[in-house]
Amino acid sequence: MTLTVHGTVTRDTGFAARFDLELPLDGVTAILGPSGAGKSTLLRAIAGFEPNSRLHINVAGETWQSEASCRAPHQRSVSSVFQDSRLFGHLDVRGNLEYPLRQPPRDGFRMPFDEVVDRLELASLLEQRPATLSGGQRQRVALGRALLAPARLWLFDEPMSALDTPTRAELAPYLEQLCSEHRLPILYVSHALEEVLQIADRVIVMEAGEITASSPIADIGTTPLGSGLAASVLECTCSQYLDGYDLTELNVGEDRIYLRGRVPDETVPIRLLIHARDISIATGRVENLSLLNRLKARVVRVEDDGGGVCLVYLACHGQPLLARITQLSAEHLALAPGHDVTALIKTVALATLGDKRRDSTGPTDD
Amino acid sequence: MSDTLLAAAVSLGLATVTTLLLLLLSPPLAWWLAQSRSRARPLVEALVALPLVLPPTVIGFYLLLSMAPDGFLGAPWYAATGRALAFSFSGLVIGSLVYSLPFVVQPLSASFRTVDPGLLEAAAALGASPRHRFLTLILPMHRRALLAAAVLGFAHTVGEFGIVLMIGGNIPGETRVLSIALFDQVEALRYADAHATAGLLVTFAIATLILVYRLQANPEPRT
Repeated sequence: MTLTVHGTVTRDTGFAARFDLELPLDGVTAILGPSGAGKSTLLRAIAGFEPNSRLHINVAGETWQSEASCRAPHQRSVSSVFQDSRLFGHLDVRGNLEYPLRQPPRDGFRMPFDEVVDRLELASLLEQRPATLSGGQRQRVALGRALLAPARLWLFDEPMSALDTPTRAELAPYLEQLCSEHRLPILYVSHALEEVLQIADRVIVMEAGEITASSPIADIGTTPLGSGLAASVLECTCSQYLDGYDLTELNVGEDRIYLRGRVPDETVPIRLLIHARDISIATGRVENLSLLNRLKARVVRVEDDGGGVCLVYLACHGQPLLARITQLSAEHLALAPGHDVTALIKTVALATLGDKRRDSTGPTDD
Repeated sequence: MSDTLLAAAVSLGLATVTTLLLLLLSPPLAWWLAQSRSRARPLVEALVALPLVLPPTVIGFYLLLSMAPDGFLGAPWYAATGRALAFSFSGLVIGSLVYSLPFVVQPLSASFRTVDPGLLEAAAALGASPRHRFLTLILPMHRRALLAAAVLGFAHTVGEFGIVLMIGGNIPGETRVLSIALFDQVEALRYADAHATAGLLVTFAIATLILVYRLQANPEPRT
């Protein structure tokens, strides 16, 4: 089951984007990139909202658009969640949720009404008008409404970006749970890697209308997503919570990483997002340093990133780790493939959808 | 006075039938005018607006010709009903439809232009066809505009004179409306009756206009 999109979209404004992509219809694909890169255009084109498009779109073996034919938006088994929730103001929450149920059948998966209301905790809101809801509640209703429309593919166009940080943190667990339980095929446009890290299975990066990078989420440390997004993902297990220090001790191989605060569930492995710029590299013995987070690693290769900066690809207990240091440092340290080094991590973020960044800076750290 | 009441009944009947028909015809036309990028749109807009600028007698003249037993409206009407269209209540209804159309279509179209296309996209993504979107989103979101347009159409039909004069004649209980009755009363120097008729029309016009402006002052309830 795959989604293929080939062709171009043009606008009257002169904007043009070329798409050439093939994605599995399974799990969450995050689409990242600067604004104006064509991320939303891709979603709009798939949904059928871009009239000036010369596209070939195939979803799970069905052709939705080609030179010969073009399905109307309402006949495409695709459901969207937008940045602005786009609830219907003349209907109450129940009316909004039931709106897709009153449409003629189309193929695809649809979640049962009661489950949607239950999972998104909408029961107490059903009789309310959208105008009386908070931003987070509105987005929950929009999400529920989208899950009640039969679809083969869900399109999330920055569903969090209109929300403030506490509201994101409130909405994030709902989204994480729904994504992990049903493995819904979702294209999730975002501009922050942190936002999608816990739910995304793979990441694609778009720039100026073209897809410039594509990678499974665990491999972003070996296939860099572009210099602005150079980062790696480290899977860790929780060891213990150090009460007196308000730190959570995490294990990566036999090394430890300390995370400020408590994690919601200590029994499940967690993903840490580590930006390449937040890693320093040391050779030889490291002593008398306030930095708590030190990981043993081996240099895989060193790559010039331009502007006097280079990317150092490391292997850390079998996981890729990406560091971004100056060319000068790399030469001082004489870094070469096969060298054993210590990666010193200034900050690690427990990346969740809600952007609840917790810095793991030690008590005496800078 | 009884001829005033009889004329009032004809006026109200004519305005009611016309308004109901206009409420069926106008929303789709207004929506098309609000959304279409067709090159025919300015032409259709001009045709709809024509009664606003033409003397009613001009429209009445052409309607009279088309309603003649061999006219393009009159001939099929005669074939279907066995009756003449000119100088009949049905003929008046057709004339009123043409004459009052812009008063219903134009405010509706202006209101429809404010529709957030994002909401329509959201509905389409949920599986709603264009027709369903029109019936379940656009119409309910513009209830006030619909009501205001209907009141304007109704009031304008009640106030019609020139076209009725041309195609309606003056048949009591059939085509003799209030404005015609007033004309006759003045011609016959029956000023007391004329005062009653004119006063009735003025009161009605003020009341409807107040209602329309109140409807238009409050925006549609939105999200």
